[in-house]
Amino acid sequence: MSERIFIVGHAAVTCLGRDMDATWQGLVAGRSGIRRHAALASETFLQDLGGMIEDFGPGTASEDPAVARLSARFLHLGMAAARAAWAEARLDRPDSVLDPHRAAVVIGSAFGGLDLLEIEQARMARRKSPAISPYLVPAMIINQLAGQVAQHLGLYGPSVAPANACASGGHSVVLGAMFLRSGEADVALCGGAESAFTPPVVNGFVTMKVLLGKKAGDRAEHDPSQASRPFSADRAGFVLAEGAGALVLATESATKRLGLEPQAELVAWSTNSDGHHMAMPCRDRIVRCLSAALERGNLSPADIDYYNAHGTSTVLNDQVETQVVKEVFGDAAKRLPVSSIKGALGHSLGAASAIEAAVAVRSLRDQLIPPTINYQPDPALDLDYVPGQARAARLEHVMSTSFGFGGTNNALIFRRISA
Amino acid sequence: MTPTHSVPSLVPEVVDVIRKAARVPARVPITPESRLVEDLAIDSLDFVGLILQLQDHFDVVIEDEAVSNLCRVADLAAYLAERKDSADS
Repeated sequence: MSERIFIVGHAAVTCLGRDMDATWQGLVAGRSGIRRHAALASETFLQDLGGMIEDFGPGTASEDPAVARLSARFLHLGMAAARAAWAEARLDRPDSVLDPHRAAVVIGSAFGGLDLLEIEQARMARRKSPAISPYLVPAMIINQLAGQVAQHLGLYGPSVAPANACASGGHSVVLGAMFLRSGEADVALCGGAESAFTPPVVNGFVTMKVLLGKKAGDRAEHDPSQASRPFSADRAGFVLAEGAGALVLATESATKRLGLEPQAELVAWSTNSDGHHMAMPCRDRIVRCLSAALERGNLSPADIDYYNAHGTSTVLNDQVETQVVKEVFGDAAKRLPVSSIKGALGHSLGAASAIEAAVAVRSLRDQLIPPTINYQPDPALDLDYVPGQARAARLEHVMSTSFGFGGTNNALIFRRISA
Repeated sequence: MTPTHSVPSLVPEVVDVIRKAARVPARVPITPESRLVEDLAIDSLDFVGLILQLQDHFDVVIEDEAVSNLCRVADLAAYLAERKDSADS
């Protein structure tokens, strides 16, 4: 019999709030964290709307001194989320009896420190010699975040960094759970972090027509908070954001031995590959991924009380995801609340699904479904998208999914902890 | 040619760059005789970063061949004064 796996800490740093509580309060109040940013000047960026976390990270008062030399923003965002989740689990206590060699760190990112590459390339171009900062390479490699978390929290089990585009955070949770199930660790600190506001990334996504571009008459033109509108008839692309999310997983025996408090149970998970296209989702493979998670959890579609969607606000994703939900859940899809918090937070790529996993845990704790904001009905998409307002509901199981470029999918199912 | 950049006048500026670039704590005194590795505990990566910061700050090129001889704060100040003089001439 495999050990049960509990979530014992969760945290997020987002454009709606510097911590999980502020993020959650913003989500359930139906607020948006999307703004117009002067840093995204029109001379170099094709879109100046985004979910940046201003006055945070390298060079600000909130800079983490432990990683000050490594000034890639994803490191600072990820460190903040990891420290918060670890502290919430009360594993930072000096008297903790956790064996640090039995603690895994699994934190991913899509792009890592590309922002610093941009800055250092510009500095190099201005120099009289082609010298470049010795901190660039260590700061931009994607696994450095897991490395820094391991170093500064003193965790010496396995550390890996899934680089699976927009599915990275969810994949981190899966890999952390696999470390626990395989017996390689008792506790796993999992998550994702992202900050990729560089002209090549922003403009590249706009050129692909997956990121909302500037368009006269768009409802975001005069109200940036309406830019991200998952499942809406006039959805026109995702809105880029930065952020980080983290979960602490623990085996049931470690939870008891270490005196940790379970916040939710990770009942089942699934990952698979589309093997289909560099960027377009494959409906049939995603259906298989979600169905596999249900089967592994010995759950029927009707057991899922809330589906926390990938819901990017692109034309294609929201259409395909709606079809997937209808096929996987069948008749139960008619009664299934489906919401995307990307309407409020934008899309933080590798961080997004870690943040969404944290939100799924908070939803179970508070028995509350965060809404899909900015929703305007699309006749072709006919699920219950929980428009506009948070909804109180009896939640026993929540499924959260994410799908990444490169054709990589995951589904996570969390269960409420009975009182 | 008469040097225009005196070593003593550059020392405070060099000390300032060292303290910031290598994050030397305020409680650790930095004097002209301070040795970068032994006294200020600057590791090899931070030393490379410091050389780059000094290049940017003083707008000079510090040759790779010279770096191994730059052991003390005074060595750095003397080298930088010389480079600035040759750049000005």
